[in-house]
This record gives sequence, structure tokens and C-alpha cells, in this order.
Amino acid sequence: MSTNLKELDRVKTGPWNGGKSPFKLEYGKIMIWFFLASDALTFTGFLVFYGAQRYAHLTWPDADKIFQSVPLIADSGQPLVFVGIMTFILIMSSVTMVLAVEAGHRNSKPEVVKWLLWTVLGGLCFLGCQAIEWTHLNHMGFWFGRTPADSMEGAQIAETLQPYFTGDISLVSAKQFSSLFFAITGFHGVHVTIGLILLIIVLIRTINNTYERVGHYLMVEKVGLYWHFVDLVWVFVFTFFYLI
Amino acid sequence: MKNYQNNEAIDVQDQEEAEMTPKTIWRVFFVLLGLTALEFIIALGFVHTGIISKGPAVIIIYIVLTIAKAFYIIAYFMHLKFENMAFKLCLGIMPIALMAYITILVLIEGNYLKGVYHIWELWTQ
Repeated sequence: MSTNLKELDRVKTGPWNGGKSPFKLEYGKIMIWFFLASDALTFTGFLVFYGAQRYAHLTWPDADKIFQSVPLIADSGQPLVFVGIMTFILIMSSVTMVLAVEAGHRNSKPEVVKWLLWTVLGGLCFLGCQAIEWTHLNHMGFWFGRTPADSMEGAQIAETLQPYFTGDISLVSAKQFSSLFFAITGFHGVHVTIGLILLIIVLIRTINNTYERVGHYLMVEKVGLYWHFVDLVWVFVFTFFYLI
Repeated sequence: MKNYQNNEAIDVQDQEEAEMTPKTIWRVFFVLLGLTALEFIIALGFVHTGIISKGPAVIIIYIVLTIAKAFYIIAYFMHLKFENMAFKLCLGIMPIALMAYITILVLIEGNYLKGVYHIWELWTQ
């Protein structure tokens, strides 16, 4: 009996025994992780719908025939080069973001500012590239629910869409492709824009010594998680739209 | 470092510093760059030139490479590899299960639609 009581009285030290933080993570970081998990499901919905449409149609436009221009260098004949540059820019800005977080761990304010500035620059470059690409596609005649062959009839449709297809030509497929392309890259672009706004807020607060006074740079880490998520989504968008 | 508001986080944060050095970060960057380059080589060197035709095999290779990239971003850049197992499971199981579920369901739906679509001329136009 007495041994049992002793057993009960003993202070338990396991991670799940109360008075502990079993995840060993700060609250805000856990919350941003769960937000990102739910956001990932939104993008899954988009991309899976794209996949299903693509699978259901007998023919589909070829990405390496649509995305062929490099601004200021070539109007056509350079498949996927520009999107390669965009991917590189986004991965690069992700790297500078981790470096900012790493500098934050060392409480080194000048380095955090430096790397955050590079990240903001990378994000702006990416958005700029996307704007250029959208403009180019718009000039080609693609837009939300619009293809170059919309107002045409009969054989003219096939003639206009010929450059974008390898196999059979389908107006419906082209329309699905352009609508989904603008919807999904647009949604991703909105995420990049929000990320940039957050980065700029964090940058201003770092310069104002807010985090120096608080004593840690956890907010940089949280915005960093969001920024990596944007990069992560781009990795998938890139594969499904440009490669497959 | 020691003046974290959340005292529980201190030990973990100290470990992290050792694990994510600029050297590791650049190593992961080169892995990501290499995987992306590999995708481009397949897309431009083989598929675009017509050496390999687009089909299930190429698509599976692309998806495997993409998931590998996603793993590196999540594990190292987002630091999930160094969090504890309880958190990884709590965060990961639900989205991964739902993603697998919706992917399978919607692809089955797509397969059905494939049979329906080309009955009408509209869809093959």
C-alpha cells in the first residue's frame, strides 16, 4: 500500500504528463504549421482537378510549345527557359530566407536585415517575371476562359491552335488549360504577394529593433515557414503545368 | 538565445543551431538545383527532342523528382526533420491521408469522364 502511494506521489517527468510542452515548439510556430497544412489542401484541390481534367481529355496543349519566349531575348523557340529562371529565383529566395532564420538564431540583426532584403528582392523578381509571362500569354490570346481561337469557326480553329498541340487539336482542352493555368498560377501569385507583404513588415520591424527588444527572431522563422511553403507550391505547379 | 519567452523551447533551439548551419543550407540548395536540372534535362533533352515520348513512365519520374524536392524543402528549409516525432505525426498524417484520398477519387472521376467526354462531338472538337 505504502509503495503504491509513493508511486502516485512521484512527480512524473514524461513529455505528456502535464506542465510540459510536448511538441517543444512555440505556439505561433505550431499554428503557422497547421495553417500551411490546410493551405496545402487548397492547392491539392486545384492541382488534382487540373490532373483529372488533363487525364479526362483525349488531347492536351503541350507546355513546351506554349511557353517558348524569353523576354528581351527571344520571342519563341526557347522552351521552358524563362520558367527555369523563375524557378531558380524562387529557390534562391528560399535559401536566403533560411539564411535569415539562421542569422536570427544567432541574434545577429545586420545579417537578418541583409538576408531578408535579398529574399524580398527575389520575391519581387519572381512576381515581375510572372507579370511578364502573363502579359506575353495575354498577347498570344490566352486568358481566363479565353484562347486564341475563340471567335473562330471550323477549320480555322485547328489552324490557330496547331502550334500548341502535338497530337489532336481540341478547343475545349485549350480553354481548360488556359483557365486553369491563370487560376492556379494566379492563386500562387497571390500567396507570393502576401508573403512579400509579411516579409516587408518583418524587415521593418527588424530594422526598428522590435525583435532585438523581444530577445528572439521567432517571427522571422514563422514568416520564413510561409515563404518556404510558397516555394514548395511552386515546385508542384512547375511540375504539373510546365513539365507533364 | 537564453531569453526565449518559452522556456521549453530552449533546449530544442540550441540543438537546431548545430544542425542547420550555412553549410547544410547550401548543400540542400545544390541538391534542389540538381534535381531541378535533372527535370530540365529530361524535359528538354529527351522529351522535347522526341527521344522519349510523353507517357506514364516520364510522368512518374517527374512526380518522384518533385516529391524528392518537396521532401528537402520541408525537412531542411522548413526544419521539420528536427522537430519531434509527436509533432511530425500530428501535423502530417491528416493532410497526407486527405491528399492521397482526393487524388485517388478525382482520378477515378477523371477516368470516368474520359469515357463520357468523347461521346459528344463538342469535346473532341
